[in-house]
Amino acid sequence: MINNKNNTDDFLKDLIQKSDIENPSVDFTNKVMKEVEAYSEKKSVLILLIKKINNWYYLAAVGLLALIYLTYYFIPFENLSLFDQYDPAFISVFLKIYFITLNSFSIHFKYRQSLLLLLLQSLHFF
Amino acid sequence: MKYQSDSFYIDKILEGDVSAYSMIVDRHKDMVFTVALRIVRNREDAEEIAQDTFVKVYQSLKSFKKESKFSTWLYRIVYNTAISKTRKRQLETTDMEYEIIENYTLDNIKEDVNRLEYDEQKNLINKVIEKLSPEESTLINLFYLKEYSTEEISKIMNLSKANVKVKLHRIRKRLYKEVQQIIEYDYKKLYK
Repeated sequence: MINNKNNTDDFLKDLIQKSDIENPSVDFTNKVMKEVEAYSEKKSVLILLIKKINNWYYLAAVGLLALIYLTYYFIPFENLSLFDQYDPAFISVFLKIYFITLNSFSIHFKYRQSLLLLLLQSLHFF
Repeated sequence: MKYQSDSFYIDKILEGDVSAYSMIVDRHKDMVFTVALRIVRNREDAEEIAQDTFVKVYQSLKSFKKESKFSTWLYRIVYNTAISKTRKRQLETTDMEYEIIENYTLDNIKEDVNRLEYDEQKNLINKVIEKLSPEESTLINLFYLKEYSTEEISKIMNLSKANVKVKLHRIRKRLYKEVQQIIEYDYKKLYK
């Protein structure tokens, strides 16, 4: 019984393997590759753009900090009441600003350290 | 050139070598096109489906988990794309026009087929496959041409293993009937 079934299946297999495996057009692979390359180019441009936007956020943050630093630099110390009222609680406020900036702008890790340094420098100024 | 597995090229593509994808396309294009053509029965549509399939596969290559064979995943996508296109156009499958011929044994069929020339056998089986429904022709393509297991076919066609076996059994019976009828009506008449 099993033998008969196997013979039957072999016969069908042999017959079906004579059927045509169809071929697409000659330039099929080229057509696909053109589409694929266009897609991957688009994707890499998008990634670059996102990176650039992140860099711009970083620059804006640095610029802002520099502005704050320079503003205080040009204000004479004797007029600065803040200096007399120095409170260590300021540190936690600065750290909060630091983490909010990081989370909102998804700043890359390698920039985080320099941003922290800048913040600490401005803290040192106070 | 040394034969490399699909996963070798997939790793290269994921590392950023887009051109490695052409090796994958070249390797599978004929079968992908054949599966699509057997379902939609129109060369232009089949080529479009095959092209869409390869682009779709490239776009979601990162999500391919190497739990199953790459080709299983690829054929599943082409099958689903072609079937959904066919459903949209509501293609009608050809019903059997011939009457069943009684008193015809399996050995008779084999004997008759073996009497035919190679090209005649090839024409005969192409005609028979044309008569099958898209699902049936995909099933026999995968089972007899690609020699996939019922488990792999069940993954590609989203059927249970038991269902694949039942369908294969029915298709075998139908194939014999179709072969027998074509021989009887087309070839025997010629030789009479």
